[in-house]
Amino acid sequence: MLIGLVTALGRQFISFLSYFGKTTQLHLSIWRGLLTGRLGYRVTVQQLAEIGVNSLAIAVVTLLLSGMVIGYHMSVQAGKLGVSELVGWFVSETMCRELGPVLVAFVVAARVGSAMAAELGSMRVTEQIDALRAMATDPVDYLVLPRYVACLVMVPLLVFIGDIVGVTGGYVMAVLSPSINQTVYFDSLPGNLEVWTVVAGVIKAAFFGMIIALVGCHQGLTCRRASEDVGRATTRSVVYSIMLVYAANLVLTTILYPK
Amino acid sequence: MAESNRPIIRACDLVYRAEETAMADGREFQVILDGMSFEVHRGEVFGIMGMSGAGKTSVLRLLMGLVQPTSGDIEVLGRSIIGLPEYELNRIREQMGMCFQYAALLDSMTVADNVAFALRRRSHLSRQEIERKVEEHLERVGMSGTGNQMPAELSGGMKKRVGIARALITEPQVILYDEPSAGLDPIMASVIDNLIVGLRDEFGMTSVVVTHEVEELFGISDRVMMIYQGKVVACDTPEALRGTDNPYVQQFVRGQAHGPIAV
Repeated sequence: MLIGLVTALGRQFISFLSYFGKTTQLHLSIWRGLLTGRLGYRVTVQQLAEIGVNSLAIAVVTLLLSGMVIGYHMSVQAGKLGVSELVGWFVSETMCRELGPVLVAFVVAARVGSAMAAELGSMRVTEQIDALRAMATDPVDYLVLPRYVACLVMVPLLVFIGDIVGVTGGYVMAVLSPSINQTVYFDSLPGNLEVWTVVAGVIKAAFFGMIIALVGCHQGLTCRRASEDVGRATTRSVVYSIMLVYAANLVLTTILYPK
Repeated sequence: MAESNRPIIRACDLVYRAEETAMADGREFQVILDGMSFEVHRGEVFGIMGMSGAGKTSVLRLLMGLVQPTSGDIEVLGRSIIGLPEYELNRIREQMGMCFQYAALLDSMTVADNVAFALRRRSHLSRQEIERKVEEHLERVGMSGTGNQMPAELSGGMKKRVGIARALITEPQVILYDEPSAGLDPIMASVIDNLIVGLRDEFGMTSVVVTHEVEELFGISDRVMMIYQGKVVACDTPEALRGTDNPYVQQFVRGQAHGPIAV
């Protein structure tokens, strides 16, 4: 039984190393393509629209509602502690540092990362990826680069917009509290909320965008030639993206917001 | 050896095992090709026939560099393609074309965009010139006027013909056909056969045609290779193969259920 357990753990470890190696290889290919000017601009613009514009509504709704919930809790707790004048600052810190980047990353992973895995996976099953290669076109250059760049640009932009929406949502709930008047919420921001807090959150979002594109495209390009595996690749892309976003968030938070 | 006499394709002792699929499933490696050697000469139509699952499509995928053999060597256009990085392989692929068994059209693009794809990425032709060439090649395969349709709107046979037009538009030196007439009506199958022979006669284009349609293959090929269980069992002219006493060839050509080929 012990041998079986060790074997199973060893297999999982080797599988993890293999996955890590393959995604690193893909990431290097992406950057080689970018640095040698192989990015197709027309396809990239399409992806910018697909990833950014089409994800805007769901990101805004998510961040607005989350901001309202945080605003409600903060105003209640701050009222008890007698620091109601700082509610705006508390909400904006929460949104810009953590909730904005992480929630947008989840939304994009679910909506865009899964779509990338499904689209590229079905292209692999129907030999379209092979057809591209047969036409002397590198699938990484043609399919992955535009998606990667689009995520790298649009996820931070969505986070910035989401931060503003979230803080505004917090305002709506906070002003309903009897202890907070309409001006004190935004008056607490100058002098308390630092520019770096917002910028660091946007930087985190750029890393999350890279993770989502990398995982989604890798899952699609490496899924086996069976329709059922496209479904599995799609699910895996969301699960892996979210887990990696959690891990990256921990590392980036300690680096970007030192004590 | 003079350049003109040198084979345009040379496969030497090819062994190919389906490692990727087997590894993922935890199964043993399935041997697809087991020590196969052959040569294709410049300007000939070279047919490959064999049972379903004999490894015919794998041969084409290996020649195109889409998969790497487990061992052995493949030379295409005078250069070994084993272990070449993708960008080096692409230089060789620019002089080749491939028609896939199920067409493999890019389903997010129109028929015209599919056919124009390689030209738009590789040539410096003007938009009008590309449009003219696309229409000309669609007409060649009997698909004139379908440029604005999406692949999902086409039948299997129509997709296949668009796939052939897409492979031909760059005027490659070597073209690989995987079951070119499967799913086509007899008239259109004849049109495609005439096209393959015409490209050889007019432009000296080398074709490798994979199919299990014996009569079609014998009608268009200069030489035919028969494979069975990953090995070459015969390779000769169609006339010689008809007259051979090789029991594998005879059973396959006559379509007999009993013989050395296990069904």
